[in-house]
Amino acid sequence: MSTTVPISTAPTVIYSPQAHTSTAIITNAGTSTIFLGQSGVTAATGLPLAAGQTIQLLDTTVSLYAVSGLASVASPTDTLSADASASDTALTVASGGASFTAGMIVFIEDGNSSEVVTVGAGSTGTSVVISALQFDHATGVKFGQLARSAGGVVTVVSGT
Amino acid sequence: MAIFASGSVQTTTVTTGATKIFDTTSSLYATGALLTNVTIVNTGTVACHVGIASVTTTGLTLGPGQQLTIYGYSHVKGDTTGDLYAITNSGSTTVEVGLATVDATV
Repeated sequence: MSTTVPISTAPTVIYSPQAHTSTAIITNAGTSTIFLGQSGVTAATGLPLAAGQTIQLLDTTVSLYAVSGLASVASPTDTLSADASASDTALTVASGGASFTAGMIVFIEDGNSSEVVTVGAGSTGTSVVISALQFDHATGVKFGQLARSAGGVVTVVSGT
Repeated sequence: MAIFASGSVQTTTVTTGATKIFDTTSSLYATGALLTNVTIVNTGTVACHVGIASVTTTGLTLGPGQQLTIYGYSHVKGDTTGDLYAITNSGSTTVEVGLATVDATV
């Protein structure tokens, strides 16, 4: 059975295993990357599936969700004014930190150590609260909010 | 069902912290190699969740014994944007990741 599912900025269930089905073949038929995972999936936490890519899941027993990807870095943007270390949960900036609000997805542009974090509550002008860093980042590294794409579409084939 | 291409498998113990399970810089691959079509198999005993460096337990769930293949995955050796990570809810599991042979159809 094949179905087409539109993908938006909110996690959408795209596959639910049935008693007689255990294999899912999912193709990103849109034009931008989507992210696969559980009901709370975000672009920071899911498995990316680029446009045109297909993922085949064997013997899957859980529902699968997808959320639309991220198009570009957008306002607000800022620059580290102090070094940050892996596992830190805040970014120090000279000013403008309060523009980053809870739930924003932020891209830290740092070469091979680039990463995506989620903004938490409580940012101030000089400190942006984030989910824990995976990598160290030096003073001067730039970061900014990732704007979501308009959405996408997947085709899902389920079988045994 | 895809299987691993010869000599390409990376075996990793995944824990409750985001763990890199596919390293595009691995010495398994020649300089300049194009890494395509990745298969991930959870050979351990607890579920894990697959994603990128910031993966959490909301990532794509791969239960014990389960397998997924990403067709169209394509990164040159050393392109770390192609690195894949996994995490467990609790405990640890073993994951094998490697380049896949490709079925005639999927």
